[in-house]
Amino acid sequence: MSKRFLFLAAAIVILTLSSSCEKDDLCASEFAATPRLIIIFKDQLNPLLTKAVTSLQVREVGQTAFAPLNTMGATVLTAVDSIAIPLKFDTAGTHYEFIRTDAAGVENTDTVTFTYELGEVYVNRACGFRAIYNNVIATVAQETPVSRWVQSATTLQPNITSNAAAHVEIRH
Amino acid sequence: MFLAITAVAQTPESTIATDSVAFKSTYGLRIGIDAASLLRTAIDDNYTGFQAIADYRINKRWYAAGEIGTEQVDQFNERIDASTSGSFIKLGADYNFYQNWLDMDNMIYAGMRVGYATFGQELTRYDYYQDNRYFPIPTNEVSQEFSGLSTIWVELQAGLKVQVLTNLYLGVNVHLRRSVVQNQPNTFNNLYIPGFGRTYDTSNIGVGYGYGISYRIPLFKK
Repeated sequence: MSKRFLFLAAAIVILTLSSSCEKDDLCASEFAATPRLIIIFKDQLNPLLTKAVTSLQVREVGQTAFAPLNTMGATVLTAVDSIAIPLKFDTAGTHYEFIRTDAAGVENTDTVTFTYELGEVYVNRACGFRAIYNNVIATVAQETPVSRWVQSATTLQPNITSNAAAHVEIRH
Repeated sequence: MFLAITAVAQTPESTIATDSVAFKSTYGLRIGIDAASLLRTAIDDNYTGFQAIADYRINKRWYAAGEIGTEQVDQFNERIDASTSGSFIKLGADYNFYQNWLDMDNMIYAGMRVGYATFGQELTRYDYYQDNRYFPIPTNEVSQEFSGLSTIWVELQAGLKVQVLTNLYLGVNVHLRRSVVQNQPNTFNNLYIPGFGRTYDTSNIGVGYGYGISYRIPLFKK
């Protein structure tokens, strides 16, 4: 009889130990994160042509830190014709300053406001949810006297659900 | 596990039955509880569960078997907190491989079950998966209910039951499960299924174990 109890006890210990090693629940990077706003820069005189910005930095109005312009986290890019910037999860939208530095080192700051409707999609247990942005509208702030380098901002793809294609075109 | 099984099978009996003595097996309904659920309820603050187990001997080898129970589990992940609660039933049969000596009444068995769970989930917190930290990542404290969920699965069981006193049995068992039909919310997933266990994003396999304490109500011998 005591032998039987021993076997049972051994089996119980083994089962309890094995059940405590669960697979780690880490969010793998291949799952889609919250998409970014992808902006392409075009020539205002011939919008079929891309036109690179000499040197560009972007930051939210009121912040001192610059926003990441690509998934590598660069905050300043030179000769850049497209950027991917994060959007704020806020019903008031995101107010960005686009700071261009030309070849002569002269800065020109224009403000563009992006408004949108917020949405969300379940990803998985480890990654949680991702935000999506619908009906994106880009508005370039007026300046007097007019010294804007950004001539216009047009929505190409109003629903930002992935990083696969450009969402907004800026002509300059 | 295998060492234990082999050792039980080799336990010798000192007396050898003569041909003229025939030992009869007891037949009856064996009912009990799963001590593993009770143990976990006592130890784990995020778990409450109860499971009743039963089997009925059909012949020398075969038993009709089943389990019924409830579970309530709170899960805390990096970006999602949710709780699941509901009940389940499992029905099937066990086959006893163990050759009992004399009047012994032990089991080393394998069995199959079909399980059905009906449950609800509540999402209590979630975060957004971001690839940068330029903007603060909002945490959503919510109370979002997903009710009327269900799952059907098939399950393989293996285990042993040892008679420790007349008609009183202790057992251990392990389960391997595969979900067949899952009724999931449109905007969320079933993170835990009562009776099935936690789910995985990459497979529909579940595992589990139990410690049974059961009593056989003896009905007849043959």
